[in-house]
Amino acid sequence: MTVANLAAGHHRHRLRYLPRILALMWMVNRTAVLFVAFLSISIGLLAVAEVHLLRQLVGSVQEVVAGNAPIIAGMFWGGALGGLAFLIAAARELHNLVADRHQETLRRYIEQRCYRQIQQMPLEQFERPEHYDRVARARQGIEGRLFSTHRFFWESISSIVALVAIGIYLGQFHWGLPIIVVAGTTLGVFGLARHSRQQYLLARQQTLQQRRHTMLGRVLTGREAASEIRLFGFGDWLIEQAERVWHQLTTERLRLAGAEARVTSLSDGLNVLAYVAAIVFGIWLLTTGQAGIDAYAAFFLAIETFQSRYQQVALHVSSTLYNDLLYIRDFLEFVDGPRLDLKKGRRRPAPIMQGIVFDDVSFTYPGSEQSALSHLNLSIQPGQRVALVGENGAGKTTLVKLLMGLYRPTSGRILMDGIELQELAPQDWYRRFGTIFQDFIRYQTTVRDNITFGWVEGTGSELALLGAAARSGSDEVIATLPDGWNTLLGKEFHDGTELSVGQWQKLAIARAYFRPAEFLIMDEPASALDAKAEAAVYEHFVQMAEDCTVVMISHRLGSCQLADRILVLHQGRLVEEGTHPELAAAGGEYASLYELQAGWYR
Amino acid sequence: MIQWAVPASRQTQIIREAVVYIATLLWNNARITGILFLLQAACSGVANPLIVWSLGSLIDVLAQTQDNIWLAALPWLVGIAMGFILRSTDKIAGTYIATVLRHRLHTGIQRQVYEQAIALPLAVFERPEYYHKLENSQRILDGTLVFMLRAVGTLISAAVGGAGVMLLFAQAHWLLPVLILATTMVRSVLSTRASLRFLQVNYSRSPLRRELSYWATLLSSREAAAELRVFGLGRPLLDRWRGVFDRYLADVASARLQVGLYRLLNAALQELTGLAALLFLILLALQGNISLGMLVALLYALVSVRLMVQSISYGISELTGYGADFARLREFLALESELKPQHGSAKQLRPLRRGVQFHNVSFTYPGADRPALAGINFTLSPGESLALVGENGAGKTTLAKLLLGLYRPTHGKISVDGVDLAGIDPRQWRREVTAVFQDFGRYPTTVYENIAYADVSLLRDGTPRDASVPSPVLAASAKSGADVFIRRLPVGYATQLGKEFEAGVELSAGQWQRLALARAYLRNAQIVVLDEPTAALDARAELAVYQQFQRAATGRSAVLISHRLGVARLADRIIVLRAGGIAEEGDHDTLLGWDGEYARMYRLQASWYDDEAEVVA
Repeated sequence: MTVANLAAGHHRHRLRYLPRILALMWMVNRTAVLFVAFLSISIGLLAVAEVHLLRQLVGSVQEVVAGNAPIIAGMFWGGALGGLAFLIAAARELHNLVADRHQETLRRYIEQRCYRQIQQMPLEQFERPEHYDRVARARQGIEGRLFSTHRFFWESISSIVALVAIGIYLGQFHWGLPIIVVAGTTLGVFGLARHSRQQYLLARQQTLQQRRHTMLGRVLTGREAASEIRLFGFGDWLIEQAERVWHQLTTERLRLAGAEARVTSLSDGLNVLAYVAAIVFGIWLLTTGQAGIDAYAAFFLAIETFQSRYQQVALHVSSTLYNDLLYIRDFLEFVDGPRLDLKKGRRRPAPIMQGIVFDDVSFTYPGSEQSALSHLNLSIQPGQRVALVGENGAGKTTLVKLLMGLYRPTSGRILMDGIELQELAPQDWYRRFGTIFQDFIRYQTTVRDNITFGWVEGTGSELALLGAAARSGSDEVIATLPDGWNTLLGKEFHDGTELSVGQWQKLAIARAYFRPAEFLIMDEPASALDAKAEAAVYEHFVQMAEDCTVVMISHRLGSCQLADRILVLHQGRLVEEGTHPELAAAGGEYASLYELQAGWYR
Repeated sequence: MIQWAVPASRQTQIIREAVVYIATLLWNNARITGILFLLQAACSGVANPLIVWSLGSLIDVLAQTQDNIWLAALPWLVGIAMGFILRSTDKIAGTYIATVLRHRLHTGIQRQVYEQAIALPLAVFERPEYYHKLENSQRILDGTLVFMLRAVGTLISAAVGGAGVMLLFAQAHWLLPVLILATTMVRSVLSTRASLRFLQVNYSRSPLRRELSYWATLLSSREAAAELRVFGLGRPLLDRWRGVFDRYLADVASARLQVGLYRLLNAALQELTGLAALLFLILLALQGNISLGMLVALLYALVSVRLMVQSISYGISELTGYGADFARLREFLALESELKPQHGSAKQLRPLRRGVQFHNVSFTYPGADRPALAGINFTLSPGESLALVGENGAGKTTLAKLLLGLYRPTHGKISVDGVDLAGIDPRQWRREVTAVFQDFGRYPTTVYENIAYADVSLLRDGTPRDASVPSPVLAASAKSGADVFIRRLPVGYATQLGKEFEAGVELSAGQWQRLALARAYLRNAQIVVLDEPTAALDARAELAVYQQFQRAATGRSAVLISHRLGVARLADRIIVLRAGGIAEEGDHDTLLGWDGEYARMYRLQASWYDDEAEVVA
């Protein structure tokens, strides 16, 4: 769908989001909603009272000066006017106080919705660039917009109350007065509405470039690339790139700001005309005796209040309708987006009996033309030790991600004890896996968290924790840390201890060991490990298999000797299968790879 | 009661420094726009006094004149219209000029921040303060700049307008301007303190905010998605994020309540003075001291006085608050850069004659309490290949980074051909070395850029089509073995990497690693450092890397960090590091003969490939 198509949707369709927003605001904080509504409407009504009091005051001053009334009459109206101003100011301050708080709560709620949605999205979504655009747009200033839409709604109602009241008040002098003011202001308002929509369209068009700019900034200032930028000296070049993107972004934005200025000057010109016309009209009323000087003095306030209220309504409506609601729609569409209900599906409390079967499974990454895996047929029995071998890009990691149920086959079936994987509840399936990911995460929290994150439900099991730490070699790492198990790791937001890559990997291994799982998936578990830790990992590979099915991806083919079965992948296909002696004797791909490595140690 | 921690003298200093900084920035980036902005703000200030004065006069004219009323009213009508036109000019031209100005300043500040970020010593990245200050700079770009410009504009126009309105009030009674001025001053002081207090709280919450954004990023990132799903961490981490958010909210809420109460107090004070002024005015009118028109004009003026007092106190308080932000930006920009010219001079470094020597070198990470390396002595001779082995965390990578000139020794000295490395311009030294880091960069740009980053002269013309990719890049990708998969990519070298961007292709870990190798090989350096270059590579690719390494190493010095001891034995010399010190040193055969740590580790690994021996597991 093109950008223009998306934005062309009729306003009425957007309006249907309004009740949802109000419901949302209501849910987040009822008191605040009631409070805002009450204050807005009261302020609207007080506006007309102000006009009337001013007229009374001027009238009474005239009377007093002429000697027709006592001074106290003038002071009374003065006091009333002052008291009213006081009341309005107090209402505004109170409003701000409540609104600030409400907005923070709202922000928390919105972000939470976003992150929850992201957690429930199928993993394939992460392979699409649109996904990142959607996330960026859903979060883009959404809390401000939701809040302002809500505030605008009540303010508009308050303004409409004020407009009707003041319109009637003005109409008492002459029906022509409200008409002049309405006509002038209305003409001016149209241009503004158009502009709001263009702002949204531009922001939408710029999402990608904006993201590129953010990415460049992150690379330039972040820790990850800091070493290479210094060594290779491409920092200046990156700055140039960032500035080029920035320049492009700002040129477009400034062009739009210029257009806005032109539109606003037209609309403001009309406003000034309407105002002057109303004043002239007032003089005519005065000279023809249809109004006194007291009414004339109040005119100004009435007209100014009317105009500013009218503009406010117009601006609120147009920016809500054309701008905010579009963002809000993006947000709502995002949180309503595809979602994997982790609990939906069959449950099988029992452990796997017969095993897993890949039946003619193929998988293609979304947006890619080549399939990552094609027509894979294999089976894994419970308790087996399986080694996955193959060149980089042969499809090993994709295969284990399919096995874990993170991706679903593009064609073919994966069966567990004869049941198709897709029928099982994802949560029920995930819990069976302890996995050492190739790109494991370095959680910026305590050592303890880094390991217990593997099995959050089992956080209290000290014995299991110590066991996992010992078997992974993490215990030796932990022993050197200042606060032992409670040492904060990482430098991103607290002054924690930074570990080496290998030490982080040991924690990732402990995390997987800590999880009581039926399957242990080890995706290059020893890539950054020293010889001793590597030996310990392989040792574990052998021992674990007694009560667990183990699948290991490894480029260290020596470790494959320990496997019950070796699967050799080549360009997404299964090319060899068997035990180490069988494959070594067969003289195929595996044998040649093995000989290559063994050569280093002879 | 609230403790106001910032003394007034410091406050003026903050404002002064911020003003100097911004003025310099303006002068360098947007001279004319800046002047226009100030002029325009001053002009728009005239609008309010003009309108109320014309209005009062008009009413007097209408109340007193009997004949030729239209002619008498005309000048005041024109005055009112002019006032309105001025006011809307402010809205239109003012907004536009401010937008232009903001973008100019944004560009200028952003450039300074980036330039500083790439010039700081690498060790700074180990300190949370860096991120703290960086976040502050980002805040300036995202918000402060807008608010600050708005505050300056408001302040100027309110000051000009205020002066005009004061003149009107002075005509009624001298007490009125005095009263108003006094309120303005009290209010400004109070709200400045309140906003400073708020900013202080906000600043001290900075780590909390960063923690918040860390969990948020983790929850939505691609890298973490698979692990979070399998371990079921989505919910617990979301709870954790929420916990941090609540802590943040609670902290901010109490500060905000204090500030809110102050605001309320302020408003009450002002409204009370307003009320007094109003009653005083009416009294004057009732006694016939001022005309009816003047009364109406001044009543209207009172409304604009309220806005003005607010604007001025707002302007001053915001400027102080934002001044603090800018003061921190200046601190960030003043952090010691390692690329300052005085840090080194050009030396004759090519070819290296005596090599690189470590003299009793120790290194402690900033903020750490024990050294990562201590008392290191060794020499890397020209053309020599050296393998660094040892357990995880023994200090291998730190040593390599010291050699590359990315860190500077805490104690001891590194010398190059007898010259202290600290006295050599880092940029010059870095041209002589190249490296593949263990956590190499994966840049979401084109394949070509990923390689050519090592030689920016190749980037000048952007990413070329495959047919015209310069030969050094082709050679580097052939050496690293990256050429094989690059050929298979949709548009070869021009392929966008990373799923974040349109048509972006994600590479496997091994493919990324080969790109990193290609990047390192592109540079014609005298010293090559490979930090676990094959961790993610398959056996064949690994072999290719080491064969290439051997060839590349001829005539150059090479440092290889590897846990594959079968590979380490290729080196002329092996250094075994243990807990930050050198434990063993020698060639493969010598170390095997010593039967120490190296020999044990080597035999362990070799056993995996020994078909006869029983596996040691």
